[in-house]
Amino acid sequence: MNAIENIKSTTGTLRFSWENDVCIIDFHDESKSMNSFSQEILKDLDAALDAIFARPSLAGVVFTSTKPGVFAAGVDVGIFDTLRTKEDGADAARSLQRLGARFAAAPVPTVAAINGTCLGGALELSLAMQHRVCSTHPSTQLGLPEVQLGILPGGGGTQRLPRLIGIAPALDLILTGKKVDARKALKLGIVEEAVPENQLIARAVKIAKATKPAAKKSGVKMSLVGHSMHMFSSFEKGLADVDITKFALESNMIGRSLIEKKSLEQIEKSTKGFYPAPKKALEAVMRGISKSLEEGLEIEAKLFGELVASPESRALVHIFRIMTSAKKNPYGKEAQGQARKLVMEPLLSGRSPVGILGAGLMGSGIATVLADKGMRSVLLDREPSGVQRGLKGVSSYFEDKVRKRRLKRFEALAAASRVMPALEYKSLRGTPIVIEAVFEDVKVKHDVLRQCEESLAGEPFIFATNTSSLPIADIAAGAKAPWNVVGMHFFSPVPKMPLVEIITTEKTTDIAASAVFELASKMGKNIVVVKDGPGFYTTRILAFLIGEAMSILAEGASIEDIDGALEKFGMPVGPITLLDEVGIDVGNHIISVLSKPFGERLVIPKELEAIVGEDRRGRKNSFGFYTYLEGKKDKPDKTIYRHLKHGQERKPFDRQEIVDRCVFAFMNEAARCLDEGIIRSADDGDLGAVFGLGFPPFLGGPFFYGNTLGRAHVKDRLETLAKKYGPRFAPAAWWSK
Amino acid sequence: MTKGFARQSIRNGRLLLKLHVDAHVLSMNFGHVTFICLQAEKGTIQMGLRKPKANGPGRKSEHAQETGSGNEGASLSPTNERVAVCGAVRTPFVKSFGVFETETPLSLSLRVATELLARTGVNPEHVNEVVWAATVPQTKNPNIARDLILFSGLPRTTPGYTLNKACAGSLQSVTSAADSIRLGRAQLVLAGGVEVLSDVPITYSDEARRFLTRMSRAKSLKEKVGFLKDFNPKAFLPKPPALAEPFTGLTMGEHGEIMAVKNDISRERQDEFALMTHKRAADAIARGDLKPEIVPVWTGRDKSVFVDTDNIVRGDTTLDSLAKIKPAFDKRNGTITAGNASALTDGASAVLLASEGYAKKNGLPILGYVVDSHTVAVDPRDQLLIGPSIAVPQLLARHGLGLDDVGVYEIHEAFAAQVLSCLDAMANETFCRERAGLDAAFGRIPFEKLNLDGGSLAYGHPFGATGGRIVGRALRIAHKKKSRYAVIGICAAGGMGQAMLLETTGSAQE
Repeated sequence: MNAIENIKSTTGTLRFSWENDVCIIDFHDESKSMNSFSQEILKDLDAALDAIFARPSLAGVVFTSTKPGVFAAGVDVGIFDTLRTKEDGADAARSLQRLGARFAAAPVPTVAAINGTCLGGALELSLAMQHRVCSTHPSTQLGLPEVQLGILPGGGGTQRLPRLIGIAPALDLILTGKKVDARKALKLGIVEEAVPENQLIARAVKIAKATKPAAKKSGVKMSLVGHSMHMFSSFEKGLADVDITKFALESNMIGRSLIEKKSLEQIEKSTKGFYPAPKKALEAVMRGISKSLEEGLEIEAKLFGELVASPESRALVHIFRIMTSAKKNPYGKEAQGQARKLVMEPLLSGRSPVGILGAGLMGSGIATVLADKGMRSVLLDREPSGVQRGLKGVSSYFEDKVRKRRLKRFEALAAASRVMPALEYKSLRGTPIVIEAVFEDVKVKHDVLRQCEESLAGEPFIFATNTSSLPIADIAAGAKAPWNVVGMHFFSPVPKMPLVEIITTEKTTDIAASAVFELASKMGKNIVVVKDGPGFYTTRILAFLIGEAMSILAEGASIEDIDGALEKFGMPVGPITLLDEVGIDVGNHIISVLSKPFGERLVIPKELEAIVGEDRRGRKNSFGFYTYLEGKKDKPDKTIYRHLKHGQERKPFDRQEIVDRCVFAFMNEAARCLDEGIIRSADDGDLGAVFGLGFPPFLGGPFFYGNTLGRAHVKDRLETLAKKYGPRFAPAAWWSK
Repeated sequence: MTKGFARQSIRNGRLLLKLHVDAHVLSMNFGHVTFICLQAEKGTIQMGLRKPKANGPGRKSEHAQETGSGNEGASLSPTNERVAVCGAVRTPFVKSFGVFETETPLSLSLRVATELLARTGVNPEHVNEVVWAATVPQTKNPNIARDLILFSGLPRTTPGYTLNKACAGSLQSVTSAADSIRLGRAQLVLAGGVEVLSDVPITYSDEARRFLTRMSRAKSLKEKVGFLKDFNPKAFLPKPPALAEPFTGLTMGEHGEIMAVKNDISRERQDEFALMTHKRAADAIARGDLKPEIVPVWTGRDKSVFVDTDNIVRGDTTLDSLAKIKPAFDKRNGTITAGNASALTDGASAVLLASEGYAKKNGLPILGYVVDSHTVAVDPRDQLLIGPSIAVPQLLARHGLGLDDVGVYEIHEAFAAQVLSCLDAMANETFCRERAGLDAAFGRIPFEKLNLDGGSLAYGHPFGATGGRIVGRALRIAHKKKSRYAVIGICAAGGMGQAMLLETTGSAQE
């Protein structure tokens, strides 16, 4: 390959070389870990195409990236800041579409040679090229994740993909944002060939040389007719090659409306109406497919514009950003290096296991995730039956993955084998970190810590305590090495819940904190680092929400009205259902811990005591605020009302009033945590609330939502609530800032 | 002898193979070893033989490493350093086709290996090699030694090999490990062995194999159709495991009977010996002496079965009840019964060995030392299992030791008749002169020094794992008795006998 002089990349991210008159464009942004298209790079590419197409001897264009593991992650999210209105959005979509169209209608064959992650706008640009070939490297993953950001593929994706691979498979990718590997991409027809990565460029060049440009071929537009023609031609190849369902469904109006109806049902089920993007994406596909490509693209651009300007998209983009920035380890280089050497390297090489104390749901879940990520653990419990439940949890998780064909049987075996059961502390020898998930009682925590110190005598280890409310400093009191005690608050069920709250005390060293941070991120979790304090951040703010719900209940509201109101607001489950899930006993324990420091504001109706007194624990003993039929939640348990004011005669409550009381209590306490420095930033507060507590992502978190409403407005509303219900609603200082 | 029949059917793409067993004593031979299945209940053994399926692209390994083994500071020249036994553990030994029926040789091996490393607190990156033994050929994990490292999540840089020396398998893996250390090639080696007869591979006949391999190599459909004329459905009945020692055509039990006759070992002597070994084992368990060697296993579908004790030991057996059991092999005139023979057993054992210098430098516990080992072989047609009576005296002679110099003898018990034959032979001057090349009789090992915590008749005999169990037991007994030396003798198929000389530390263990 010879570098050429006359084509320049103004951004320095594009490199050009020639092979047999085929121009190879290599997109390689060295300033970032990921390639992504900024406005400037798109302009750069546009200008380069002018120069390339001007070459008389030009035989073809190959677009690729030599960046390891990355083709391109789509359009830079920075672009969102510039798109304020619908019109801005539609224009941005049109400009990306226009660039695609240049590749589509190029005078020579254009080929996308994909190695590594190829997402969003990058895949859309590839779809616009006349040919696509990808590598079989495991990092090669193709997808259109736009709906996850509350938008739709606006660079032609909703039009070109269904025309290329059919409506149903295209919707499967566009509406879910899921990624496919090379094998699946080939099977679906997204790429023409999948080859080993060392052959990728040569194959792409060969394709460019061997074919005629698309413009010279007839039937470029793969509209209804084109698609049917394709189906008929496959008849000639033999019946085996024809996808009958696809033909029956997609080539006629009735079939298409059936697909649309099914997809809508699916969308309603998964979004509960809170997220407009999948619906609009479906609309773009279904309206566009029966029109010409050009008309389809215009429909797409307009719908894209509408979504970009939507509050849901703004919130989701906000979450995407804070997620990305929360991945950065906040500790110093020195501490990070030490943590890696002392903890992470032994864990990742398999030299040392993670010690897990307590094989309950938490301990078992932690072991499962560690095993899934290739790390060993020693799962220790006092009782053989405890270990048994833990091991069962681990193996059923992987068995389930085998059933769903996500794992091969031998992979599941290897994963489950990484969890070593143990009954004695001596089996923990050689572990640099112990995560305790034993009963929430300071005495029990002290006891297991002491046993670890005895069995691991002389070997330094980090003691990560998985507590939801006990102050870490109390747990660390009496430890031989209190600087190695860190809070590591997981959420149950651990394999599903994407957050870990890390709690440091004044004594915690940066090395210990950094090690726990690295471990949590290797476990695939989002992380908020918070300061030690009663209930930390998540437990504390949740207690205020549940406390308020309890007050409303005690005032006479029905269980279903309270839960219904907050579910309508967008919470995944209502606060009373949540209390049943967590366990009423656990909730009561937490409240008893928190009522000391926050007693004035955290108002818990005394009626709850009677409910706890009946040994109602919620789901775990099928006896709570709800009744349970064979372990499944059924109806609210009306017998509980006899402990409450108004008995069976529940009073109607205004839905908005319920929501405001619960949500504003929650948001106000989050703001107090920021005022007190429990959380480091509003972004951390949003992250913790969304990923740990299920605060509606489309609202962006309590702080983002507060800003959306306007802080002054929130303050006013809190003051009104305070007048009506008491000083517990007194606004936090942050709302006045 | 066996009224078994086999049936196969294809269900959901899985070839289900049903083997009905309705004999009380089933004797099978896999190539060169005979199993005796005691009191097999009338029942069905079901095994799924998954048809080979095209594999998809493999998943990327999480963190493949390409560094060499963690051989930090290993000297590479032969040393005269002693070889320390730093730990010896095993799973409970249980009757085959019982509680471990969902286990595999790999799963039990993994269990003992990871537990032993964890308990000793050793850095697994320092393990230079894994040596494992398994007797029944493994189709799923032919090299268990390497696979146990890979599947356990331990550093993937430790190599391993699996050997087959029948019943002496793990005694040989300990020997080979000790040799590597003594030669300075290694400083830390994990040895062990396993047998899970509940998970034996069932094979097709040679004819079926030829048919299938020819079909798969056929180039055209026409060629394939051509082969069909040779198709013989009968050939596709699963082949019941061969019933005899390959070279003699006799089962292990029949060889035991030959020894009982040649040495005139009466049924009463055999039953008395069996009674003693069961009582001793039961006492050892009751005293809690076995605790340090047992690694509990959670097994079964939901891991809901917790196994932390051996289940073959019968402390409550009596001479009367032993006398009532019918002979298992020679039904009319025989003396060997299910009561005085070792049972078909599942289990695994592991032994961690290190150079003395490494062990001391890293603060590893030392149970004792491996001094030497010696293997002999005899003509299998004569007395198949008499080997230990030659190997033990010869090994001791090599070190200038006589019978009285050793306080602890562990002679593996395949059959009571075989142990008693060996004891008689060692006390017999003619035998010792002619067969062992000694000047005089070695002498009679008194029961006060022999198998003090019972032997394989009581614990059972998972072929590949027995050696590892005995190494650990012998050292622990010797330590307790404050005896400097312990000697092990194990007989093995093919007419082999292996002996090992161990030495205790004279100070605290573990």
